[in-house]
Amino acid sequence: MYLEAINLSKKYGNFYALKNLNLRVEGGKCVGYLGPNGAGKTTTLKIFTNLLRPTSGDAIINGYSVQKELKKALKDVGTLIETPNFYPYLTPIEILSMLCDIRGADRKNIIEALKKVKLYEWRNTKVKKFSKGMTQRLAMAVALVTNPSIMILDEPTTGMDPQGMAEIREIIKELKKEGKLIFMSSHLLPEITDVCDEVAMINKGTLLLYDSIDNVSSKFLSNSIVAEFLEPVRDIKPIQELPYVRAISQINPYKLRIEFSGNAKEQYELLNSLIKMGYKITSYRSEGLALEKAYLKLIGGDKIE
Amino acid sequence: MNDFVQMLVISKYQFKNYIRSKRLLTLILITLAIVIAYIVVVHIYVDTSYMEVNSFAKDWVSPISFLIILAALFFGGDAIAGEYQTKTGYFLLPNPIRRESILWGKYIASFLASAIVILIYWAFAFGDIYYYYKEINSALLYSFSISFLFLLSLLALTYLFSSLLNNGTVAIVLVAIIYFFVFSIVDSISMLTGIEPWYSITYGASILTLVFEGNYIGDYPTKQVIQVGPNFTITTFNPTINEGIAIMLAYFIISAILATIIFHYKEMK
Repeated sequence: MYLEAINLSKKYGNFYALKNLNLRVEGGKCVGYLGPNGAGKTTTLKIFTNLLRPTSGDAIINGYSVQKELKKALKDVGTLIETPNFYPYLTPIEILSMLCDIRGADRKNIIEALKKVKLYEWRNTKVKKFSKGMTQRLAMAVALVTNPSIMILDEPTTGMDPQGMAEIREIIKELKKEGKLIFMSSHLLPEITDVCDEVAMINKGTLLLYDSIDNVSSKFLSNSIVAEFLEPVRDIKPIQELPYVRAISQINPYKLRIEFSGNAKEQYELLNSLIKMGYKITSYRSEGLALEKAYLKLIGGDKIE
Repeated sequence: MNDFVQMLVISKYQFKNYIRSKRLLTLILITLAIVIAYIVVVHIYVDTSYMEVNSFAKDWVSPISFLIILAALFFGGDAIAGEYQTKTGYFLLPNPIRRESILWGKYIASFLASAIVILIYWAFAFGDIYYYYKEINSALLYSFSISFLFLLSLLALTYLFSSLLNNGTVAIVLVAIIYFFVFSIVDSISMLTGIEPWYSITYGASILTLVFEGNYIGDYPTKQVIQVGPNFTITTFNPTINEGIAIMLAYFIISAILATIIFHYKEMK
């Protein structure tokens, strides 16, 4: 199972929303699609779901062109694009039944899908009474109910409260374990780091990076940690003399920002040295996410090697 | 999944929407109000023994055009545009279903809902005419058949507007203006210019009542010129039965093809 964009472009007048995008995502995994507003994320997903037509190029799903062989291409794909609205006079059960009927799928998964997104109790309530968060949960159930192998999700946690966001992330992790291919866009870097195995970054319609989260993390690992101490640190000189330490700034008597040279191994050795010196450390963490660093660097204009 | 079965699924849920949203009920109530008002007026003020059956039937049939226009607005105006305006398209369109199946599925549901309303009206019309004259003549059956052809063509035209626009409310208002004003103005202009308005659907649909004119079906003048002043004439046109049918069929075919093509390529931005 795979999704592939081949020289995919979408032009509005003189503006390229997407420019010669070449990207292939394949296998049972979750791929995060990152980029700032207007980068071309939703445009890509809309082309893959036949909501937009490309100016040139092709969007392929499992060997079928979405534009030329729509039914075959979308047969095994669950979608959540933007926050869809539903027919207000139907109930969640009817909405999901409609979808199953359109797709010729068994209705047996409906109850399970509603339980998964915590809408079972609302199964017979008309959708017009739903809040935005509930609508988003139903949209997730719509994507799940036919048990597709591929899922295209456009900011799936938009409009949800923190608990709802966490629940949707757990669902996505479960789907990943079931071997599904999930291609999801998001603005939330921690979400991508938490849920995805790979990340594709796009800006101004052009793909900047496509790699595993691990590789991106090692390339863009933060060289700055924030350490918190149980007792105030009165003298920072001994710490400054430790190997790998390049600079220290005291945020407050209990908190230091330590910049060091090296990667994860050096970061670990630095922690070890501090403990051996007798410091009582209550917290020791990298400042900022590696993914965030990569994102800011790439969107800022620098290309990764 | 078969295209035809998918189309029927769309029809089923579209029809359910008409029932749940009370659109169908509202139009049935409007129809019943017209029917009851007409029956009461006839019973109190009209002495049917002095009226020909065709003349009585023509009075019954006249409001049908208005009802058909209302039905097209109620059931077709926002059928496609509404998917874009209310964002339900994000649920419906990214599925393995052809846009053609969606459009025609909705069209069938609109036609069925409209047909129910029109049939209710016709049932009362047939009943009342039979009550007074003890006959249902061929002109009435002609008019009955033509009313469904008019419904088919008008719905297709409404679907064309609905496919063109992204806002359901605008689509309904625009279509209402076109049907209630623009076509009437076009028909009136033809009287002054002397050019036959064969391009007007309401002109074609005038055969709905013209069948009741004369001694046999089609026995009426197709063109009458009245000299109003020394240099001014007014021309009244009537389509023949065949011309009327051809105009409505042409509207149906052309509108249906255009609506299908436009919706096929329409993007959800």
